[in-house]
Amino acid sequence: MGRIIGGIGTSHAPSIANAYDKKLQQDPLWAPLFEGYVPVRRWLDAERPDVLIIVYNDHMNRFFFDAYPTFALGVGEIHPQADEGWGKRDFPDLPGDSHLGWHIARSLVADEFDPTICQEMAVDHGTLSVLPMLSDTSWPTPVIPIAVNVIQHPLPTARRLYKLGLALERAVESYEQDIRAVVIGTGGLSHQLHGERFGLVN
Amino acid sequence: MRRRGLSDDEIAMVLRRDWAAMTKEGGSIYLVLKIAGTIGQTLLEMGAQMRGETLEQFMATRPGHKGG
Repeated sequence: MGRIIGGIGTSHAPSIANAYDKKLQQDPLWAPLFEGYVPVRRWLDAERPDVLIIVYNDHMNRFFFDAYPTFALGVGEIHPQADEGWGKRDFPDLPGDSHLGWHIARSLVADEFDPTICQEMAVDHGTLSVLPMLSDTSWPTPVIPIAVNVIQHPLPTARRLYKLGLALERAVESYEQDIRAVVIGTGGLSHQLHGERFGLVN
Repeated sequence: MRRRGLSDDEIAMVLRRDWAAMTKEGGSIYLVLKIAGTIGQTLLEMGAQMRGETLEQFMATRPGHKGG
């Protein structure tokens, strides 16, 4: 059976990706942020999980309002990088794990979660802004992306997401292979982006 | 824009690059950002404009920056 060996919560602000690409890791302004990832990376390098399950949200780079999934699960062997409008970053596409992805799909649906199952799932900064701090950028560890709607009402409730976490645990633990999974949740705890309160740290 | 069904007011907002007006009309920042991207503006520049500040003024309010 599989096992979840840990969880990581992190912001996925695109400015982090910008700072990374501009090599500002040592910049006094940015250094405290990047230093925060060092022990996490050290732990991941020591534990060497078999898969990273990344729960994030898309920003109109894969899904659009014509048909917007509340939950979407990437089951492909490859998750291409979405071009968000400023060109792709200099990284290879992310490896997926189709076998595990389909197992999670079946397990979630049996568990009364019904994600949109995506054989093609381009991932944006919701997944990629922080991944270079957590992994070698040759992406040695496969990723299962799970997108959650947080931008168009009606949104899933916190209780629903808690239950999704429990269902994910059951999915991993019912897998026939002895995999060790890490779950990464990305987003923003302080995230005021609209209007005159833009950038409010609350 | 007219072909896509935008009203005169909406077209004027886009031409003015008036991000605050677009979001007030219900535009999601993630979509308005796509418009800004076509003219090379960043989210931070949009945010400064929505606050009625220059980018420099806005950045000075950020934690860790001079004045923040």
